[in-house]
Amino acid sequence: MIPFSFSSAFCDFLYYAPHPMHIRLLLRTVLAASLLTSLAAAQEQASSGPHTPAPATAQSRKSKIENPKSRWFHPRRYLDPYWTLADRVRQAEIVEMLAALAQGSPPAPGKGWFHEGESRYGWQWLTQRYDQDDDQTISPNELPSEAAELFARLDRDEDGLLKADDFDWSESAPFVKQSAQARRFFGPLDDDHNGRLTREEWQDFFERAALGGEAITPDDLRAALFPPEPAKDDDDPTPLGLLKGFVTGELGSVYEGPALEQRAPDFELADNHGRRRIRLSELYGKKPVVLIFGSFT
Amino acid sequence: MEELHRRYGEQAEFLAVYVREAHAGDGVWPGKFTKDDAGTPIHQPTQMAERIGVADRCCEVLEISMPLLVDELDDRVGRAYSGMPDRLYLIDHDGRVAYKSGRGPFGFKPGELEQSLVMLLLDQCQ
Repeated sequence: MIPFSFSSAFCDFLYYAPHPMHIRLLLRTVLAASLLTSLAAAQEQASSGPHTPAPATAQSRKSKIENPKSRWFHPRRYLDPYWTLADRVRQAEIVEMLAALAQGSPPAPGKGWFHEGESRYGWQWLTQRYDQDDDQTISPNELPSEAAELFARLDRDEDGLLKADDFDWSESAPFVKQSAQARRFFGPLDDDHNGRLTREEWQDFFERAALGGEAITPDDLRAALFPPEPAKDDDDPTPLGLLKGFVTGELGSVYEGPALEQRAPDFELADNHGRRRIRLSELYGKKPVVLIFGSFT
Repeated sequence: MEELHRRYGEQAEFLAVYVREAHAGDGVWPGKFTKDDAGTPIHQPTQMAERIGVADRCCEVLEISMPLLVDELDDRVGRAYSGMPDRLYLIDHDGRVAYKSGRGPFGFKPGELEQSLVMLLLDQCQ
């Protein structure tokens, strides 16, 4: 639905004319062009797609007569479909991301296309099923007896009760903030960056922080966790860098992927040893499938 | 994710899909930490054998025990799932999406996926 034909000219432009004014101008043009062409495409789809209204019956003709908005001279008859389409286009992730870049927003949770996760299951689902006394908490005896272990896995704060807080994954949730803080401290200790701290890495950190001594003071710890920043290099992406990242896909895929409750696109791929080829659809019916996408860097 | 695989490997199928490098050495934001054996940053593989080699190294360093599927050079699976740079999905028995994480790196929350998986298993108990 969203056109991408500008990519080649767009890349050339970024490499040869990197003036910020040009970039802002380009972004606005791209945004406006995307909006206009998407509107046209969406309108075309709406008129020829599966939602094409059936031929008017006597009933629908009657309702048209009764509904003043359906009369030819009523402005809402023409404006409403366009507002609906404009909303749909505004919600297209590529448009959201371009709009965020045009405003100079660096990549951050909740900005552009960096949305929160979506799930069929959550606190609401759980309370509707299991909150028998309707007190907005779920105790272990409200769940089936065979689910004791699962209960423990859901009880994120380990207070023995399931509450709405246990299911809040937004950036403002205390648990999520604590996790982010823990990761910040974890990083400097994890020498090989494999996501696991070994006893040896822990010991190495102690040696570094203690500076050959036998104990660590709060100041030693601060110095080891937050060493002096090197001279400001280009770590923080510039608006031009962000645009390049958008074009090269380093800011994320321009595609949106299947939505919640949609059928997962089928695929067949070989593993890294070349020993096995796995077709996703052949796994259905046996167990649920967890897909983890990622790379080394 | 390895911990989740260990914990729920009997009840769910775990598949890792290796997609194009997010911060290759020749990209806009070269990765600061991930280097190959010779200490040079990893570049974006342009041949399938090269991509499999990087996936192998990734599997070894991150000690990945689940099957690591390597996406084709045209990134067909990564694109179909919007899987770059990283992302999580939970697919139910009928092949429908029951959980879709936000885009990585911010949306990559294994704990959130675990809760959805646990509730899907609870749903099955009924």
